[in-house]
This record gives sequence, C-alpha cells and structure tokens, in this order.
Amino acid sequence: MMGRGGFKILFATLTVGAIFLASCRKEDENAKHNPTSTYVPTNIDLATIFPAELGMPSLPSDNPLTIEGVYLGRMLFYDPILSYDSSISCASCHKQEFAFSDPVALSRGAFGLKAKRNAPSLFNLAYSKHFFWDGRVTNLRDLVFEPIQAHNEMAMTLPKLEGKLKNVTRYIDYFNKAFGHAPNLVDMSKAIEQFMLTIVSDGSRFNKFFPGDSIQLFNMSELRGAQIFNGLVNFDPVTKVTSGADCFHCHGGELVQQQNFNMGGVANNGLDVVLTDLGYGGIINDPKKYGTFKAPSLLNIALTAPYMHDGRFNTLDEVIEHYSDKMNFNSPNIHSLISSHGGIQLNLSAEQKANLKAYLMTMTDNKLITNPAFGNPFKK
Amino acid sequence: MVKVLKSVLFFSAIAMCAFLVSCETEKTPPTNTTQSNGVVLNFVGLINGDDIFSSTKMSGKFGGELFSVTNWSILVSHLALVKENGDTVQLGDGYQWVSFKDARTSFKYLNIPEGNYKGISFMLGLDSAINHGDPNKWPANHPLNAFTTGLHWGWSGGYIFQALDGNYTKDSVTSTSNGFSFHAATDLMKTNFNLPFNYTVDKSVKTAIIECAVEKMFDSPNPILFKNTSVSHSESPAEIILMKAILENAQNVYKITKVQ
Repeated sequence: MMGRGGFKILFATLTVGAIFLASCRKEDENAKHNPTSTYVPTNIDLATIFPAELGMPSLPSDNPLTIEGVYLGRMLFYDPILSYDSSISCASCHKQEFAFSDPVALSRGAFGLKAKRNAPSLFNLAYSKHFFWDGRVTNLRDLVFEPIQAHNEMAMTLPKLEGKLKNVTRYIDYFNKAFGHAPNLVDMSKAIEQFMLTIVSDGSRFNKFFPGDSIQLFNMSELRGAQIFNGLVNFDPVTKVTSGADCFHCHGGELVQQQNFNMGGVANNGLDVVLTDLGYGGIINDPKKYGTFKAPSLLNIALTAPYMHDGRFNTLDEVIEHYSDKMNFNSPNIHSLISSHGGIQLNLSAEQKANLKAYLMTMTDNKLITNPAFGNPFKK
Repeated sequence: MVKVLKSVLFFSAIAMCAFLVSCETEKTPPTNTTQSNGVVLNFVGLINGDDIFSSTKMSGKFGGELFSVTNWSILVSHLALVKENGDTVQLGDGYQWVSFKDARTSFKYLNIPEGNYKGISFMLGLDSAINHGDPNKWPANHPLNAFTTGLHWGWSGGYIFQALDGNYTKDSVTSTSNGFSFHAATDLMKTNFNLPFNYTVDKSVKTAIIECAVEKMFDSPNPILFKNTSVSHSESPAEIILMKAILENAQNVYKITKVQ
C-alpha cells in the first residue's frame, strides 16, 4: 500500500524533475538566444584589425569580435555610469590622446582617492597574456571588473552596475544587438574586452622602420639611437663607453615589449634598494620576484608620461638617466640582464642620451590617438 | 488508485533517470580513443639533483661559486626518434620549445610507426631560412611564435636558441649576487644532440624522463666561472667562443634516465 511516504516521494520526484527540466530549458534558450530579438551580429574581418606585420594574435574563442560587440564595448569604456557616482569612466584614466594612459602619476578615482599605481597605456593588448603592472590578470574580461570595483577607482558594486545598465535604453538595445541578451555583467565584460582587443598601434615611424630595412626613414640621430637601444652592453676597454644599452631584451620586437615574463617581460629594473611594492612577486608569492613589474611597451612612450609603475619619472630624460647613471644594482631581485655586466653604470654620453631619446620619439603613433574608431562615441 | 500511483511513481523515476543520463551525455566531451603508438618526452630541469627552481637559495655549486637559475628556455628543431638502422622519424613538425620556467616541459607524440628505436635526436636551434624568416607567421601557440616564447631578437637577428639566465655569488652569506645571462643565437650556434634511448613503439604510450642537469652546462670539458665571464649573447668574437664552449658542455646535460 502506498502511504503518505509514497506520496512524498512522488511529489519530491516530480518537483525535482520539474526544476531540472526548467533549468535545462533555460540553458537551451540561452544557447539559442532570443529568436525574436535583432541579434544578428556582424563578424569583423580580423585582417582589418591586426596587421600582418604583427601577426594574428591568439584571441578568445568564445568572444568573436563583432561590429556590435566592439561598439558596445566602446560605449561602455567611455560611459561614467560604470562608476558608483557616475563620475568616472575607463577613459577618465585611459585617455586616447595619451595612448590610453593618464598624464598624472596616480589617477584619482570616484571619490578623489588616488590609484595605487600609474595607469598603464592600453594598446596591442591582443598580443599580451598578462595585464596590470603586476601581471595579475590573464584575460581582459576579468581585468574589467577590477577598476570597476576598486574603492579608489570606480568604486562600483556589481549588483548596482547591472541594475543601472538594465535601465538604460541604449544598453537594452545594444546588448541585444551584440549578444542577444538583456544587459548583464558577463556580456558587459566581453564587450569591453572586444573593444580593447581592437586597439592596435602600428602606425609609428618606428613601425614603418622595423625591422630596419628602410633606414632612410630615420635621421642620423635616430639611427644612432636605434643602435644604442638594440646594442648589447659592451664597454670599450679604453674609453669605457658602451656602444649599446641593451634596452631591447625587455622592450624588443615590433611591440617594443617582451611578452614572455621569463625572458624579461617582468623585471626589477633597479629602481629601489628598499622595496615598497612587491609587484608581480606579491601576486605569485615568490620572494625572488618581489619588486618586479611588467615591462611596458615603449610604443607611444612620448605620450605616456609619467613613467614607471608609480609614475616617479616625469620625463623621458629622467628615465634615460636612471638606466644610464642611477641604476640601483643593490635592488633585491634586479634582473640578471641588468646585473650581468659587473654592476657598472652605463654612463651614456649626453649625445648618446639625446640619440636614444630621438629614437624613442619615433615610436609615437598619431593614428592611434586620432582614430575615431577608438574615440568617445558620446562626443558630439 | 494505489496501483496507479505506484505506476506513476515508477515511470516518473524511470523517465527522470533517462533524462538525467541523456543530459549528462551531452555535456561530456567525446573520449579520444586513438591515443596509441606514442611517446611522451618529459624534460626535467635539475640543478645539482634538485628541482631547478625549487629552492629560494642558490643551490647550484661549481668552481667555488653558488648560482641559481631564473630562466632556462630552449628552441629545438628536427626532433625525432632514431630507428635501429639510423633512419629518423620526425616527432610532430620537428619543432619544440622547452621552457622550464613556463612549465612547458612535457610533450606527447602519437601515431609513431611501430618498431624498435635506439635514440632521440634534435638540433638546438633552427635552419637558417627558418631562423631568419618571418617570426610572426607562426600560429600563436607554435614553438616558433616569437610573442609566445620571447625567443626572438626582433629585427633580422633571428631566434635565440637557448636562454639561460640566473644569479651567482661567491658565497650566499657575505656576497651580493650578480646576474649571468647566456643566450645562444645565430646560425653558428646550431648544435646537434643524440640521446641513447631504447624504446619500442607499440600500442601503448610511455613517458621518457629526460633529466636536464643545468650545472653540467658550466662543467666539462670547458669549465665556466661566472666571475670571469657572466654574459654572452653570441655576438662579439669573445662571446661566440664562450657560447661555443657552453654548448659543447651541453652535450653532457641531457640524459634519458627512465621510461615509465
């Protein structure tokens, strides 16, 4: 005989089944998107974004670049509603005219609080695998959530942000066009990821010069600067002058940046004897890496002052002086490429410094800072 | 009534079980059933018998100097198994990037012709045309993709075949440490290696442990003291001589110690 226990089992079984069926149906619906929506995204021909000279990067397979997705990401990048008090957008600290960096040492956030580190420039991110000065994030969609939630940056809470996005008509429309869904945080991060992936910088005179076949593009000072930059440290036994400064190991190739962290992509460059910021070493909890930071690309370096992870150097002259004359060889974990020359300052001459600076100045990409495709879509 | 309810309960349970199984099946990726006739090459980086990066102290010892390695990365080509008659069977496309710090040390190769083999051969470095070709033509995860490995000089200098960087000191207590950096590059530095390896390829896949003893890079037949020379990028004549000496020592570095 089937008593009350049997009915309970039957009830429970049917309830669980109903819930399970419902959850399966929900997944299916998500997978197919809303059939009544206007979700017909237009895939972007990647060859129009990534030049052959740089090669095709490894892009996230679950977030194809689409015209709608990139545009949505661009809107979000420039929209201050992503911050708690709608005062700060991503672009507030990553300004196009400064190669998406900020011309102050430490940017100020939503409540006037200062950021912990200098705002890095943003371009050619599709070719990078580690982001932030300490390399703590390995994909752009995760990166998005950090400044949004940081109390001294955009100071936003995620539930509030999602609520805000869902109440803005243009986002209801554009999220649907880009992803086939109502505004949500996952698609928000994917849209901004798409936009940031498209920011490519390859229009400098340096990029036209590389890999050195067209020397007529450079004057003598720039060519001599190229030799110093790309030459190995080699002290003349008589004059004690080095012919090269070996900048290229950490800032090499077309991107002027070493991508592999173990080949100089992250390094202690002899700034401090006493470390106040553990950098990458603090992230991976490795004392041997304390005080190391991601080596940035030097493309557009003339636009991205101030320099270093804390913005301590205001000018390129100060940067060159550091590497030439003020290297702290006693800095813990100083990179072996710097310390392998016997702890001797490079002591570049004034002329060598000027040539090196001239070479660095060839790396400015005016196309990057004026391209309307990267600009503020809300600007009238 | 009770019979009806029992039937409903029974069929509900059956239907639910069937549904659960089908959902699970959809989510399970297909099983690869073709993994046979293979070998796994597992490069194990060692410094005086210990894991190359395990110690926070300088654990390498040679010639009165202590040293530690911060990076060891090599680029090889023509990677192959050697048949008993001397013929070679290329593994994959023959290229491989071994990077101990990037934990890129284990490589599986399948569908190798069955038979007995007597060795593994590879060349440190690349043929000239590849070395000086476009480094950006390779897919993002290929061993020759310059952005991935970081093993390219940029410009027209070609690839770095081996990067070995670290720090050394006279003693770990009183002395400050200095860096060393030995980067083998240019066509001159191509070096062939042949490792004895008795192996039978059959339906199974076994793992060959290749121990890589970094201290032997500085040992014999050409002892290298960091205090005398701590840097070579294979450029100047003196650097070329030094790097040639290191690569001659490298013949003693790699040894297949186990097949499991």
